[in-house]
Amino acid sequence: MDFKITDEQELLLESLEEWIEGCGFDQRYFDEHWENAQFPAEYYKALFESPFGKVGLPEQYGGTEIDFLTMVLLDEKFAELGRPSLTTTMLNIEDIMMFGSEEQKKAISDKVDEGRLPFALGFTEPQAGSDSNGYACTATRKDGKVYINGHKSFITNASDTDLMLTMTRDFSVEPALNAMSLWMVPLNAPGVKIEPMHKIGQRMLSMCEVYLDNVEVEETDLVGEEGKGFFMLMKNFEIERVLIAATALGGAKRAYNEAVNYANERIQFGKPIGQFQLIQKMIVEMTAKIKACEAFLYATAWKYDQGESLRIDSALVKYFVTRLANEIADDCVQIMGGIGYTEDSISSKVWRDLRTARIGGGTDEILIHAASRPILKEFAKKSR
Amino acid sequence: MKIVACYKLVPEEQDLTVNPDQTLDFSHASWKVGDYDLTAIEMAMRIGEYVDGSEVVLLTYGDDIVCDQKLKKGVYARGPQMGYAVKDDQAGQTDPFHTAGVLAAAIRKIGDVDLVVCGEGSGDVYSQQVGPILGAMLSLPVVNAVKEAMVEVEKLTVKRDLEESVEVAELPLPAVISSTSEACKPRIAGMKDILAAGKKEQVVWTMGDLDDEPASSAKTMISTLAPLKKERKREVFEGVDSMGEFVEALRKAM
Repeated sequence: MDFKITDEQELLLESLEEWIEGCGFDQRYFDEHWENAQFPAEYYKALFESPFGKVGLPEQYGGTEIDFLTMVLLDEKFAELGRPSLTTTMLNIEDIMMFGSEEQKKAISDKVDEGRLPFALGFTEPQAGSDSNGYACTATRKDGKVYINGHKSFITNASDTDLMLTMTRDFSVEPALNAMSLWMVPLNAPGVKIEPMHKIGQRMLSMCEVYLDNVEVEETDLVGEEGKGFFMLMKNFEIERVLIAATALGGAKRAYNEAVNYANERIQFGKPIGQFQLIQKMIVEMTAKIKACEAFLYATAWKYDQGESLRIDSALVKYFVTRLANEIADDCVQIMGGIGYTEDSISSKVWRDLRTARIGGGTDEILIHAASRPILKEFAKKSR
Repeated sequence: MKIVACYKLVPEEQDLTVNPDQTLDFSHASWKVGDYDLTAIEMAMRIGEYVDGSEVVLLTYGDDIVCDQKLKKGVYARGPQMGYAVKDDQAGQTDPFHTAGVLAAAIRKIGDVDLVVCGEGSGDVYSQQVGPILGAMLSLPVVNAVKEAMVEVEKLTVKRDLEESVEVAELPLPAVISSTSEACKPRIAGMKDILAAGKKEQVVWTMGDLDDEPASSAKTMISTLAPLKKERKREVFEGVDSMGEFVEALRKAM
């Protein structure tokens, strides 16, 4: 086994650090946007134009194709440096490029060229989060138009972009799996009402209630095949889980770097607090957790690149890494002490930002459900 | 036109440690291309991209470090199409005079060079001499502290910031210039550039491969020691009335 990342991967990460340092957006810019729950549009524009913006998008659409392990390393590094990345956006765009019409592809490409987030994902509803069978948003045809009705909830970036890829359900079709369709709904259309929700963390990205009251769209706004919405959605969800884990680990490392430095500097009882065993225990455990997360995360990404199924591992790695990342952030706040309880510390923000990682993109509980059955089934097969 | 951009690999200064006998320990330092050299490479690339049919090649002089693959990929990812390295075990113990001599011999061997771009100074010694000495050794027009450089119809126009003015000078080609540290921001290498860098050719020469024998160093390094650590004196002068004592103490200290 070769556990070393390649020269090229190391150079890419160094290049990313260099870009972030020189991109013209300092920590204060991000702190202000985080505090004011403002989308850092200027940063995203610069990111789109940088060599790191379109990573993961196929070359024919102006992107740079890279292997999944490199994508994971990049996302982790972005988070470690406290900066948002665009990799998940690129995955979503790739979906449109694969399933969308030429018109839809062009509309999305144009937005990317302008350096703007192309669309938000409109799936979750108040009664349907983990339970995707519960989607109730409908698309009704009348007089040559299509009318979208429903209520989407917890929609990330709804007030930062112009379009929402909206999942609707046709109640005349059973099972629910075959009843879902995706529509590209313009968020400035009459009948759309967006209400941002007040998050405790990840505050630069809006999260909104989106009310759709007879929103008129065209037949041509259907993305891909009618009834195949769920399958299009499923395409990327396994790698999205791994990317969430990568971002969580990067965030945990960011807090860890602050806390361990602090342990060397903060003097109490005449010596740095890092000399006390209880602080040392936290530091050692955090370090070991980071190394374990790295090993599992990189091995999972490597498996994907070898063409192996991530059906079980994507659930396991997100479950494992996001939980440990949250534990690490918690220890960091503890080590930082009083400062750790203020917004002046990196650790406090990371602690708040990371909490969502155990919920979004598959809750811990859903991941346990997703991983446990195939594990038990494998054992049942072997014992026959 | 053929443009040669010179660079030096230097240890990361933050990784340096000081031994008990005040000697410097480089053994744990990671190595990098000097920051000022990255600016020179970028300046060379911009000129090369502006003039049709140009080629930008790299040139370095150092010990085994010049063949380190990761460092090579890192610098070649900044755009030049290929490059040369003169490898010599003694490279770390030379002075700017000898270094310029080696580079001059290499440039003569490369042949048909229209422009040489050097950094303001190396990332470690920063003598700021190699560019000007190189120009003199090649008997070429040489300008240092170049903020902007452009080539138009076989002529090089450069701008330099003087104290109260901006100097604009024209030089015939071939010529040698060294850039200022703020001349331009080095381009960021993306994945494609980094992947391509590994495949670019680096021709490695020994001192014996050079047709001329560069002059030996004019200086011999006797020792390089870190300064002794001094404890702060913490003498405090309080109140306006102690101003006289304060000034006297300053005079004595100087």
